[in-house]
Order: sequence, then structure tokens, then C-alpha cells
Amino acid sequence: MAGATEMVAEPGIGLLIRVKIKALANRADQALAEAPLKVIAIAVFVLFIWVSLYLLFRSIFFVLKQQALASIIAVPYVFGVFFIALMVMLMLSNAVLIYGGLFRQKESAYLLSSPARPEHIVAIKYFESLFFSSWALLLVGVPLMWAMADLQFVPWHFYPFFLLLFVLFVAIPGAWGLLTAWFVAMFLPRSLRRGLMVGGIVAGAGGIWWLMTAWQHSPADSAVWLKQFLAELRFVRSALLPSAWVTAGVTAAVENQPGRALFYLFIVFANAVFFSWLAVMLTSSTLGLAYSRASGAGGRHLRSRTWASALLTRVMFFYVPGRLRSIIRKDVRTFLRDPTQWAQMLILFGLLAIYTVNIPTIRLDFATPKWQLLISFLNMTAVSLILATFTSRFVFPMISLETDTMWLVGLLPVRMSRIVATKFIFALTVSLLAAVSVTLLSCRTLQVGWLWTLVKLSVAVACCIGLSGLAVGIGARLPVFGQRNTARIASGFGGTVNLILSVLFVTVVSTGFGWISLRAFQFGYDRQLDVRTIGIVVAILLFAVGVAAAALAVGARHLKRREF
Amino acid sequence: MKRPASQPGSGFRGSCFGWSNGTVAIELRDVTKRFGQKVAVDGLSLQVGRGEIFAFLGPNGAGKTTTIKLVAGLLRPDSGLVRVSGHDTSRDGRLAKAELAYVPDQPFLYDKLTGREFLGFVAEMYRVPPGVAKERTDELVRQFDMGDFLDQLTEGYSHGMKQRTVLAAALLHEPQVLLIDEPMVGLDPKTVRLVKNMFVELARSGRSVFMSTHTLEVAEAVADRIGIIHHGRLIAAGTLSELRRRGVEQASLEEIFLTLTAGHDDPQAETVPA
Repeated sequence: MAGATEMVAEPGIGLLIRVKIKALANRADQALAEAPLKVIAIAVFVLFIWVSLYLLFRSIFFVLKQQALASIIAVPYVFGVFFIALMVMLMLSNAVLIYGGLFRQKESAYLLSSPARPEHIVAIKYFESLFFSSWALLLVGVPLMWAMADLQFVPWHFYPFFLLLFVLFVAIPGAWGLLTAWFVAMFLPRSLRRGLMVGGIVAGAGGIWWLMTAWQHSPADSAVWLKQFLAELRFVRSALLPSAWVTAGVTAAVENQPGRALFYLFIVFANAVFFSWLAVMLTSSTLGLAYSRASGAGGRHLRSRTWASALLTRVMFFYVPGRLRSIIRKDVRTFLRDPTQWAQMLILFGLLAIYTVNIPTIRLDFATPKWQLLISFLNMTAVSLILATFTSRFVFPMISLETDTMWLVGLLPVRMSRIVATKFIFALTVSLLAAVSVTLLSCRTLQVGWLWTLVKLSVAVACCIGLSGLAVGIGARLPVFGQRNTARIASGFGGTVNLILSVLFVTVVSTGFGWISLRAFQFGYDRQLDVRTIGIVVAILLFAVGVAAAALAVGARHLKRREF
Repeated sequence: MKRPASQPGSGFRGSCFGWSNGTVAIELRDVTKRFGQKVAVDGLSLQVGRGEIFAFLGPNGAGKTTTIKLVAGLLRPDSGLVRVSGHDTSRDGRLAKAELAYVPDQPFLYDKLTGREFLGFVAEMYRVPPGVAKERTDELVRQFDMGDFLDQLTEGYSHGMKQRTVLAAALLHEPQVLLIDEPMVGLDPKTVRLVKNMFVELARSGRSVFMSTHTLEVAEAVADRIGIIHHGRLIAAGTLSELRRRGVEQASLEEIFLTLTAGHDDPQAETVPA
């Protein structure tokens, strides 16, 4: 008791920052010592992405610059849309990161039971979240600004200016994310939370629908169309939006108006400080209560709903033997009860479906084979890239997650290769459902004949087979032990290898499909399929089956030899 | 190992209440905590005196961990009052936290820090002067036999190594109250003996230990008093001999535990006065 007052003299936020930096430094040392090649590979990849994005943005700005009049009108809108999209994404990602970090991690429980001040705990989690959520902004934003500055021949001080503007801008949606996480923990029970998440997805889809409709209702390609379309997007330049301040600041800097640029920089700075202060103070004032309420949100009784997942598994996987179907049923339940999995899949393929349905609103003549083939090709590439993202993020970690349950799964009287096969069947079925649906929708929208529909479906099936096989096989060959966080598993060395191989696979399949499309354009689209086209489709399917079989065999053999 | 109840500093008075304000380390008064429809802790009243080792027993899901989290200030009671060294954990949380150390059943360590770095962090967190911190760290490292792994990243530690590191961290700032959830899980017999001795030493120096455990042998060996919680209610509390009087004379703690909890399978059953 005597020492209480002395000990309550708070340790200060400096200590928490120091411990985070130390942990980060140890992580870097470990990575350099244990896997220097991985560090080099990541650095090369980041550089590759930066350069690719820079070249992409540069060519877009070049085209806009050539259309001198249009660019004067459009560029602020392009930036406006870019920054408003970033703002929403940053707010949501910060809300998710902070909620997990502040109310779910064991570290928070530890810090809350220590004499650390609540505002310091909130602040450190807020900074951490800003750090993790803003790297993507830098990854995309830096080449974007660089490309624009390069074409506009802006002075050198533009570069530090826009970096500072970006960093300050990130804090505003970050603070809103913190407030959102606090609000959810304080006032939303789990049932309401799930409802709100579904509502958010529906609202997001509605927003995209509205954007597509805004495009659709405009008259044919012309200056009138551009004017009307931009009028629909007027809101992105609203003076109350932080994204509009950043856009105005960047535009002023590009136009070499330092006074105006600094004015917007200070507006962003003032708002970043104000919202950060407000969010940290409000959250920390009730942190204990919010943590207590969030901790009490668990323990749902799911018994009454298990029949639905059991029935679903029985219907979808009727061809799988009973014992293996039990393993799949577990995976189905995990998938359905993990909102990050089904929500991400729903969002990605939902967006693709909305886009596909709205294809006719694009002012192109779809009666001509040229456009039909081009759009089909782009659709197929988009489907396969989204599939690659999904399998890398969610299918790859499946075997790693199973390593903790090897005391049970590993001792089942079933060969390890069959366990691997069940994972493959599960991944293949889920990805087939999504990919085939979107491909059929695309073919129907483009009014493609049944023979070509069959070709496209075959390529989609090949993508599902190859990508699912790769993700499960590489996941079994390079598993991550003792890690329950799927994001961390997916971002590890094995996940990176899988992603690279998946992208290579998609490139090969897309090249094959591109070849088919090119031949159809050259020799006529309406006629029956020739032998060579059928041959290419069969080759794509065989290639996919071969890749999947090889990956699964390597993975299964490794698991069989592995000691747990 | 077992201290006589009358030993100075043990603080034992033979009932749930009865300490004067200055001698009460932990006080729960009519505390209720609900998780949705489930009542995890139901009208719990309990006092733990200074210099006392209190063992909290109960079947799985009885409310032991929830009670410990309530005392640690991680959970807020829906009704009732929780005090640590006289500080209300809901209102004066930081004053209460400065007095206690909490070791959860699944201990937390920063994966990318070494054990030594983590102990350094804890020492700074509790403002232990650097000289004292070094001296205490060296002593705890020797006592818990941590020298071989202390400079490795904690991500590679076994459960026992983690438990030893967390225990050392908890004791580093010499807390007045030690809250510990399942202290012996994953420890080797030598460390179990060490921890038991350490609890006794803490109690002798006037500090309190509040532990939840399923290891009845440990409770029997070191606890001054034992509380049995079932369906969120304290169904019995007292010394081993007092519990025997309620249960079966000459019985082991295991038999008493099974007898008392078997009689309370109905959560709505009337609570035996503790």
C-alpha cells in the first residue's frame, strides 16, 4: 500500500513505444538472420509493384494530359474519387484493426491489468493501427503522386509536401475508425454487430450500383455525357470532406501555388490533431467499461443452427465418403462462422457480379465479336485473379490451421493424402460455386452462344482446379506451425510462394484463353469450334489438373513425413 | 509447507468476512456478472485478508476466471462492488492495479521480445528503480532457473518456460496482491515446489495470493482458506477443516469438492452459506 502512490506515477507512453520498436527491430534482425532471401524477395516485389504502378499511373495521366480540356475538368475528380475511396477503406480497416487490437488481443488484457494509463494504451494501439493500415496508401499513393509530378514538372518541394499531407490525412479516417471500434464495443451486442456488417455490405453494394446507374443514365459518349457524369460525382468535391482538402492541396501544389497548398495542409493537420485527440480521449475515458462489454460478447449457442451446415455439407459434398465429409463439415462451419472469409468472398464476387450485370451500360457495341471477346477475356482474367486472391488468403492457411489439431486429425485412420484431398475438394467446391456463377452471368449478359459459354466455363473450372490445388498443396508443403491468424499465415514465406505461383498460373491460363479469343476474332466467332480451339481448352484443363496434382502430391508427401 | 492458521501474518479469521478495513486485501460484495443470458458470477461476496493464500476451486465454467478478471479490473461487475486494498476497481482502477499482479491462465508475452527484455519492460512499467530491478531479475532468474532461455525470443518458449517468465514478471515489482489463474499448469515438479514455497513466502511478508486452481493438492498444501464456486455462486468457503465439517469428516479435499459440487448441480439451488 505504501508504495502505491509511487507506483501509480505512470510509466508513460514512451515505454510502450520503445517496446514496440524493440519488437520490430528484433523481428527485422530475425528475418535478416533466418531468411535473408525472403527479405530480398519482398523488397524486390515492393519495388516491382511500385514501378508497375508508377508506369500505369503515368500512362493514365499521359492520356488525360493529351485530352487537355478534359483533364482540366477530370483530374480533380479522379483525385477526389481516389481519396474518398481511400478515406472509407482506411476508416474501415482501422476500425477492424483497432477493435481486434484493443478489445480482443491478450496484450490489451495485460496492459489493462498494469498501471499503464488508458490513454496511453489507446494511443499506442491507434498508432500501431495507423502504421499497419497506411502502408497500402504509401504503396499506391507514392507512385501515383510521383507519376503526376513527373508529367507536370513540379518543383522538388512537392515531394515532401505530399508525403506530409498523406501522413496527416491518414490520421483523420484512422481516428474515425477508432471511434467506430469504440462505439461497437460499447453499444453494439454481437447480434446487432452481425446485422450491421451485413447492412454495411448491402450499403456498399448499393453505392456501387448507384455509381453504375449514374454512368448508365448519362447520354451517349460526348461532352454532355462527361458533364452529366461529373455532375453525379459532385459530392466528392464537397468542402467538408477531408479527401477534398487533400485533393485541393495536391492540385495547388501541382499548379505551383505554395500558399494555397500550405493552407490545405494546415486544414488537414488541424483536423488530424483534433479528431485524433477526440478519439483517443473519448475511448480511453471508458476503456475499462468498453473492454468489459466487448469481453462479454462471446458464447453464442449455435446448437439450433448446426443442422443447416450439416445439411449444406451433405448436399454439396454428397460424393465424399462419410468420414472425410465430417472433416469438410468442420471446414464449412468454420467458413460460415468466420465473417472475414465469407464477407470477403461475397464482396469480391458481388462486385464482379454487379460489374457484369452493368456491362451493357458501357457505350460499346457488344454485337461485334471484337468487344464481346475483349470483355470476356477481361472478365475471365478478373475472375481468375480474384480467385487467386481468395485461395491465397483463405485456402492456403487451411493446412497450417490444422497443424494444431494434428493430435486428432493426424491420428485418424485415414491416409494424410486423403486429408489433403478433402481440403482440396472443399476449396474447389466453394471456388467453383463463385467462379461458375459469375462466368455464367457474364456469358448471359454478353449473350454468348452455348458453345462459347462451355469454353469459358471450362477455363473457369481450370482456374478453380489449379488455384485450389496450388493453395492446398503449397499450404501442406510450407505450413506455418502454431499460428492461428490466417492473415499472418498467408503473408508468410509459404503464402508468398503460393501467391507468386498462383499469379504465374493465372498468367499461363490467361495467355491460353487470350490465344483462343484472338483466334476467334481472326477466324470468326460465330462458327463452330475448330479442333485447335478445343485442343487449347483441353490443354488448359490438363495443365490445371497437372499443376494441382503435382502440388497436392508434394504437399501430401511432405505432411506424411512430417513430425508433429 | 502448510502454515498454521494462527501464524502471525496469515490473517486467517475462519470466515468470509471479519477483517478490519486495513487488513482486507480483496473484497467482493454481492458481485454479479452476466454474459448475455448467462450469469457467470451470481451475488458473490468474499474477502481475502492481507497475508492470506486463498484458493478458488470449482468445476469448469463455474466462474473462477471471471471472478479473477473482476478483481483484476478487466471486467466490470453488473452489480456489486470489487475492492483491492480498499480501492474500487471500477472507479480507482489504476490505484488498484498498482497494488496487484495478474497472471492469466494463458499468459501473455511479446513474441518478438526476449524474456530479459520483457522483464525489463515490466520493471519500467511498474517504475522499479533500475538497480533494484536488476537485482530482483537476477534473483528471480536464478530461482526459476531461467538462465538458459532468458535471452531467446519468447515465441520459442514452451508453456512451462512462458509460465515461469510470466510468474517472474508478476513478482518483479513485489505486488501486494497476486492474482493467479491456474498457476501450476505446465510447470515441472521442481518449479511447482518453488512456486508453492514462493506463495508461502509472499503470505509471510504480508502479501495476499488469490489463485484459482484445479490442482487440489496445491490448494490443500498451501491455501489458508479455500472457496468453492459452482454455477457462479460461492457454495462454500473456509479452512480445510471447516470444509470437512460441511462435507465428510476425514475426507480429502477431492472428496469434499465432489460432495459439495454434486449437491449443487441445479444452478437455482439454494446457496449454502459460506
